[in-house]
Amino acid sequence: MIPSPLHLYRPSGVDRVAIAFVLPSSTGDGLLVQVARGKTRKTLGAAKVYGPFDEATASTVLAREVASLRAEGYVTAGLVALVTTLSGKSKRRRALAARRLGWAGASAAVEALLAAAAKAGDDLPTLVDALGQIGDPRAIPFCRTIAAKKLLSRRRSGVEALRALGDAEGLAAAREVAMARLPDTVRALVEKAGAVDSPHASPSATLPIASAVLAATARDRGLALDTLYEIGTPVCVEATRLGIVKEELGAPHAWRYVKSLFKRSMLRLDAPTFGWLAHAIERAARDATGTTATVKSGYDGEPRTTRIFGRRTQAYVKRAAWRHLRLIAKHRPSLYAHAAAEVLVHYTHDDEDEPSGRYGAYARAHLLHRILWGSSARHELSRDLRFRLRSAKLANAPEGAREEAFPALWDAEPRAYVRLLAAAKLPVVHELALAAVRRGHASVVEGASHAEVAAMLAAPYPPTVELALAELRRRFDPARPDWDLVCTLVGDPRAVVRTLGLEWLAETAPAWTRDPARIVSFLSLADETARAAVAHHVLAALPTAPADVRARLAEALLAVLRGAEPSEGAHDDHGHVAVALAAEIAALASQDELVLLLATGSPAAQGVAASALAQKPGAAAALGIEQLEAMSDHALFPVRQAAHALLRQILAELRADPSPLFGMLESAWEDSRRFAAALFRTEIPTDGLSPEALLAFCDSNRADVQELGRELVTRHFARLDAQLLVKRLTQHPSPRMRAWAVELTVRHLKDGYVPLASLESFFRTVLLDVTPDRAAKRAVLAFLTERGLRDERQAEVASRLLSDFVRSKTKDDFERALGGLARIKLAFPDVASAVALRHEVPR
Amino acid sequence: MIVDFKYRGQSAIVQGLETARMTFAANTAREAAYFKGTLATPLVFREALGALHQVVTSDLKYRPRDRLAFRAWLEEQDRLFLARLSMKTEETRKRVEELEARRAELSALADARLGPFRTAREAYFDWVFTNEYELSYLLDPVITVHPDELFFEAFSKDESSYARVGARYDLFQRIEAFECGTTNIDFSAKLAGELDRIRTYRKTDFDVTPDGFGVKLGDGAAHREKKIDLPESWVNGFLQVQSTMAMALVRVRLAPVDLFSILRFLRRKKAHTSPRALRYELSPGKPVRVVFEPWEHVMELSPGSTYDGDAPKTIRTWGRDRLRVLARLLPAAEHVDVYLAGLGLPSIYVVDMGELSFTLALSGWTDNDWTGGARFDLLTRRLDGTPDELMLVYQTLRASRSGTDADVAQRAKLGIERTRSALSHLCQVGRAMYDLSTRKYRHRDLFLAPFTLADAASAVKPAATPEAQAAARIASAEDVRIIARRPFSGGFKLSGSAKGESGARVRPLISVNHAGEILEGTCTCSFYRSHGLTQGPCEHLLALRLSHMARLSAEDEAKKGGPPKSEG
Repeated sequence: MIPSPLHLYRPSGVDRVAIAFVLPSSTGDGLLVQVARGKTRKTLGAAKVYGPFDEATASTVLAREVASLRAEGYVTAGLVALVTTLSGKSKRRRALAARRLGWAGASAAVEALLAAAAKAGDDLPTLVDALGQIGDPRAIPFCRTIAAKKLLSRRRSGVEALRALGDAEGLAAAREVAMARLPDTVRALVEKAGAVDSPHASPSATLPIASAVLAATARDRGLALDTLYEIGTPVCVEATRLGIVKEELGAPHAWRYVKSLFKRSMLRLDAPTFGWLAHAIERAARDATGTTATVKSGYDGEPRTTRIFGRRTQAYVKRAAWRHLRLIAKHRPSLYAHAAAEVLVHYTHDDEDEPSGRYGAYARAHLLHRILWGSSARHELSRDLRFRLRSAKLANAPEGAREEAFPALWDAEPRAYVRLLAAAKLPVVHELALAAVRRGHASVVEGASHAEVAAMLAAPYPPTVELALAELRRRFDPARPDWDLVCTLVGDPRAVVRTLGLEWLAETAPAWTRDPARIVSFLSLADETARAAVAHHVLAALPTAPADVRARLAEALLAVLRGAEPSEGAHDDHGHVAVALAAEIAALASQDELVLLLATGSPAAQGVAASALAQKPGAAAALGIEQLEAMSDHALFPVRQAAHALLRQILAELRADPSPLFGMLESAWEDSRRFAAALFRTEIPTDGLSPEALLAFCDSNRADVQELGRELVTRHFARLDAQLLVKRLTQHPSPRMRAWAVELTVRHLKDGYVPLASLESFFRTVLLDVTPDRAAKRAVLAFLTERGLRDERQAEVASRLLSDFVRSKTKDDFERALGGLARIKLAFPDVASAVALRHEVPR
Repeated sequence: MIVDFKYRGQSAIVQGLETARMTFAANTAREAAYFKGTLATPLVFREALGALHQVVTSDLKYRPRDRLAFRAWLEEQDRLFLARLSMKTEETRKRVEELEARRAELSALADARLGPFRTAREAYFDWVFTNEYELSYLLDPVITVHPDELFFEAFSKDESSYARVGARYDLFQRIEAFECGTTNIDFSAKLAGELDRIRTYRKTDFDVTPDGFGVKLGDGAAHREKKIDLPESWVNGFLQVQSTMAMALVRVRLAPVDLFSILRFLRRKKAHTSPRALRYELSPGKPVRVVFEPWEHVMELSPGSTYDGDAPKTIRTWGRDRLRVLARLLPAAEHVDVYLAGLGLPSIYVVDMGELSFTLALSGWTDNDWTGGARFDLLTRRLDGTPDELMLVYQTLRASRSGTDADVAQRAKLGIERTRSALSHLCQVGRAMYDLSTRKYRHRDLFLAPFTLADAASAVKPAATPEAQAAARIASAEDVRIIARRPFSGGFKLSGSAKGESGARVRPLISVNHAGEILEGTCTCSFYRSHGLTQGPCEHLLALRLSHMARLSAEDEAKKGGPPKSEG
């Protein structure tokens, strides 16, 4: 890049003006350095020409010539005038002069600035800011006194100047005072995090600090955020950024601190904070016209009614933000593109307006417009700070024209394009970056980190996504995968990126599923979907894995499972894989160790320990029947499965005494009940079970156990007392069992009054069941009729029940009951009944 | 109000082959009431407790259906429709159709793949619901041990149903020990499931003890604590039930088979439109007619359900689905007494099962809980009394545990009217309850804190309701006068004139029984025209009653020869 021309001035002598500059040689084979001097700028003499040189040599020669001129007494042009202005009467002009001197880094002006500051009024902060920007240590004592002031504007300038001057001692004193200003809860967290003393305090501390700030009252939050930013350690700055996001920027008690943060971010050249704030303030200004509130003045502490975040303030902030970027472009050109990129990435579709006439979608997006179309001659700025086309005919940009502000500065820092591609949310911003990349900066994408390229996949602009995919494909070689890249993609929280990572994971599975260390590292990924996918691939590969790989993997997994679980569920996928390696783990760990793991390990470790124990031949006996019973009722499925396997080891004992299986039949877990039922069906001889024990199965309130009971009772019916069975089953409240009880009653109930009368309440229960079970009801009605016809005493019972039921408002059942009742009455006329016989004499 | 439930052990039923032990863990934060006995007829007890649990967990309040999924589907259809409109070529349309078919195919595959996961998730939420829901929301029943019976009381989750299971000591084969008092019992869903395993062929011991089962059973912890944010409405509702029970109610006795017919009809027919009332049409000496709205289906009940009142009445009740909890009690029921308060007012069903009685009190309708603006306490008598009288009646009742108003009056050596009034106050502050099945007042401390003179003083303060205050103001300003007073067999019919705060003079008309309870009432005021008695009586009816009570009191004193005593 060709350096800018340097204008120099000498207060005395003949040639008072000198210009040193670099220009391309007419032959095009290099750069020429020219130095011209004269009485005035318009009467320069013949220039000395050096060169042609290459770019580096040209810069060196230019520097040498400038040094030579300075040795002759030349100083930067305008410096004298600015220094003179510092002693003028106008506060505004003094402040403007100080700002220019500060940005220019004019150390020669330090004494003049200090002198001006000593008697300054409202322009004092600007003078102190300039002293900080110049960075001359002579300003430190004065800045320390300013940093100790109570007034926010003074204190801010003083502390930021000390930071720029690198005055550790002064900053430490200022931090001590700042800490005292923080709310107690926030201070405690900041101290706990060590955020004050260490610049590299744990980032995990930022969220609690930000939460504590947000928990403070609305009046205290602003000051707390500003103070945190003033402390300025990485943790505090990050906490400030997190906290300010939640703040209503234009609120009366917040705005002065938001403005303070904005100014601090500009003084520090903190592009991320500046970018966010500049955009957020602009966004807030879209819908806010300001409020009038009574707030305490910083000058004298008196409450005054004032307009807050009104239109004028909003316009001032917009202008100030762009001015800041312009000043960066002029004085710190290497920072411009990055600062501009940090602003651009925050614009979203919410910043768009409906285009109307000459006003486009981004007419009110001031900074965006300035940055993207700052060099455009097609636009103009209206009085209300909205951009519009100069003419409707200029709607389309000229082919190939670059309209962004300071295009050379963008090209000088092409890394800024990567930031745009990775984070920008507006297609117009992507267009700018993508055009630049295609124009000749393709290498910046190649040099981008994996995370940056992965971030591009979530871009709202398809060509950017394609670019990122192309870049990722270029980087990815299935034969020699870049595991860091795979990890980055798989661990990405965005589904689209993670999906690509999972695809690659599947593609490279044959490579990494043979590498235990890689498997364990993949299983420790933060994302649980990714961990589950890893476990899935490993489980698919394990059956064909060589024995040594299985053994090493088992060892590695066991090592992980022995440790504490970092977070709930973190071991789950390790456990899934390890259960498949139960045999290998059983060979590695002793029985005692597995029992210990079963008792104290994470849930996953417990499952693995149980599975491994199931592989040890004598484990069942060692654990004991009580422990196995408890395991069969464990909340973890693998533990229960292992218990089942272990119980199978002691089938002989269970055949002799199946009582543990009775307990399992009442387990809340269906698999345990199913296991116990299967054993009773196939392995355990039930011939020896007492009738009470068989009925106990039926008594269960679980349908599957009732079914088992029904099967066993049917199997052993011959040796059971049918009357007892009927009597007991009729008390079952389950409709299914009741229906079976009806069936058994009809078939097996002994004839006679006593057996029938003993079941009277059962018959009432069936007949008065609101839930319709037509078959059971009809069977009971028919049965009662049939029994009622047998003898008078049974007729009494049947008539009593049917007489009651016949009063119900049923239809079909009523008719059946009535029919039965009539038949009984005809058979036994003396039995009390709801029906009466009337003898009619035939005419 | 946060209520602590602390249980040292668990309630549980442990079944053996020949014996069973049913142990209810009592709230250790309350007085040490206990009971130990052996059940004689466990099946009836099983059914009654099962029905009680159904009431505790029932929540039939109307909740609008969640239509989010439907709206999403509708939006998707709109989007597809618009997308099709914008397709310009046949080729594009075909391509889109192909893609949509493929997407549907993939969605079906995804559904199939996610099926087991969704099933497991549903099972998990079921587990959470049954295990955590009851810890946070379900209010454990209150159990009271008395010398003649023990009873359980519970209120439904939706605060619209109150249930009481009264077990007389005949239910028990053997009673080993008991200590009178009131406490809560741990009554979990798991325990309710275990109830189904009770049988007559196992000797079933029944214990209520602070220890419960001290050992750990299953996966539950032995020591359980519940902290439930008891809504004020729950407490007030509980108290309003007592007020309703003490009201003069219309009683109808139903045969169990008739209730079966009613429940069977309700189960088979689902009303999709209003009105959904159950209308009782009562004619003296005739079987009760029940009309099911909106079909106007008339069911004339059996002769066993004959109305024995002296005047025909038609009473509509709502929230009939709540009656389903009675279904499981029908086989054991001897008869069912239905107590009706009036149009849209609460109804009470008392199922007599011999040694056991089950009382189900239902609010006017399901969405109207017992405190949804209704103040039934105002319908019952509110003669002013002194704190000392209240304490005397409380202590007398506490000593005897139960008794009719006359018994208590005799023991307390207090006038019957003042005793009734005090008992009414005690019911309304949760220190006594009215047992409709035996028509006795029973001592029952609903709250943990002891009843003090200060509580009594605040209890006898004039009711804080606007209606009662307004009534007191009308009476003291002598803006109410009795125009006509006609005695009848059950009390007095009164017509009067009252001037309320609006200044307009209205014509209240009431029937009160000898106890001063309002049996019926009408008024020409706008409050009555809007709500009838469903929100409690208006200020004019109350003022007329106050005036009547004052006159009665004066007449009593005149008969005794003493100076008239002002009573309100």
